[in-house]
Amino acid sequence: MEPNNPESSTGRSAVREAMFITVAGILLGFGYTLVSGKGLYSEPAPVNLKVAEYPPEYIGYEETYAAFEQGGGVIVDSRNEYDYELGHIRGSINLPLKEFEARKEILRSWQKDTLIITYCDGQECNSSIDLATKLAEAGFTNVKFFFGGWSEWQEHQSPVYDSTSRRLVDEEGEEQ
Amino acid sequence: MNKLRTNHYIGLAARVVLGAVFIVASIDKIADPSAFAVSIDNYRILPQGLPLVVATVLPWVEILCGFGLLFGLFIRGSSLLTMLMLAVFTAAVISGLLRGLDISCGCFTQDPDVARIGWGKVVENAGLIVLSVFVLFSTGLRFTIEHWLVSRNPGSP
Repeated sequence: MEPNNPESSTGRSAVREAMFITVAGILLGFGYTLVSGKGLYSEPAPVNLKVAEYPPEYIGYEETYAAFEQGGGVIVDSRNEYDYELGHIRGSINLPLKEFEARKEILRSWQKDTLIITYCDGQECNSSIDLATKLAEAGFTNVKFFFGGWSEWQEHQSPVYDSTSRRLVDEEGEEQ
Repeated sequence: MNKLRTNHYIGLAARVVLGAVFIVASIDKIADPSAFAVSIDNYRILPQGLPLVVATVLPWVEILCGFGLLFGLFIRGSSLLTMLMLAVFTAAVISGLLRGLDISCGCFTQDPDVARIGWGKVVENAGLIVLSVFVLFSTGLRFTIEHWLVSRNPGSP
C-alpha cells in the first residue's frame, strides 16, 4: 500500500473530518442558542396565571352521544376547516384552535353555562383539550372534551356529515 | 462507473445539489430550534428533553456539511455525515409511517400544517443517500477548495 494513496486514506479522513464537523456543530449550536436565547436557553414561557374557575372535563363516547341525542349543547370541532369539511359529527360547528382569537365572536351567542363539547381527530391530537381550556378560560362553566374524537365517533358509526358525498349519514348508514 | 466517479463536473454537480439541500433544510431549524424540537418530538422516538438538544446541534451540523460540500472543504466528512443523517431521518420517517403517525416532516419547514410525512419523502431521502455515497467516493475534486489548497502546496498530503 502506498503511504499517500488517497483511496486508502479516504475512510480514515472521512471519519476524522466528520468528527471535526460534529464537534464544530455542537459548539456552534450551543453557542448560538446561548447567545441568541433561543431553544435550550430560551426564557420559559410565561405561566398562564388565569386559571379557569370551571376547568374542562374529560367526556367519553357514551356521554357525548347522549348529549348529541338530547341536543341543547354545542359540539365544537377544533380541527382545521379542511378536515371539518371532509366530514364531522353531525350538527357540530367548526372552531379551529388556530383561529380561536379571530372567530371569538361566535362565543357571544352561547350562554356561559351552555354544555360545550370539543373534539378533534382523536387520541393523536390535543387541540380539543386546548380549545376546551380556552373556552373555560373565557368563562364557560360547562366545557368538556371528547378525547376519542372524530375517530371514535366514526368507529361507532354515529351520525356524521360526510361531505365527500355531500350527505348526512345516520347509524344505519341511511342518507337523510 | 469509474468515469462517473472521476468526472469533475459530475462531482461538482452532486456536491452543489446535496450541499444546497442541506443548507436550505437547516435555515428554518436554526431560526427556531424550539419548533424543530417539537417536530422531532412528534416522531415519538427520543425521550423527553433530548429533542431540544438534537434541535440545538443538528441544524448546525447540517449547515456545516452543506457549505463544506458546496465549497469543497471536508468533503469526505460532510458526505459521510449527510449519508448518516439521511439514513437516520429515513428510518424515523418509515417508523412514523408504520405507526400511522400523521405528522409534518420537519425537514425543510417547521410549519406543522405542511409537508406531512409520506413514502415520497422516503424515496427522496433514498436518492439523497445515493448522492451522498457518490460524493463520498467521488474523485472529481477539481472544483473544490481542497483541490486548490493541495495544488498551491503540492508537497503537502
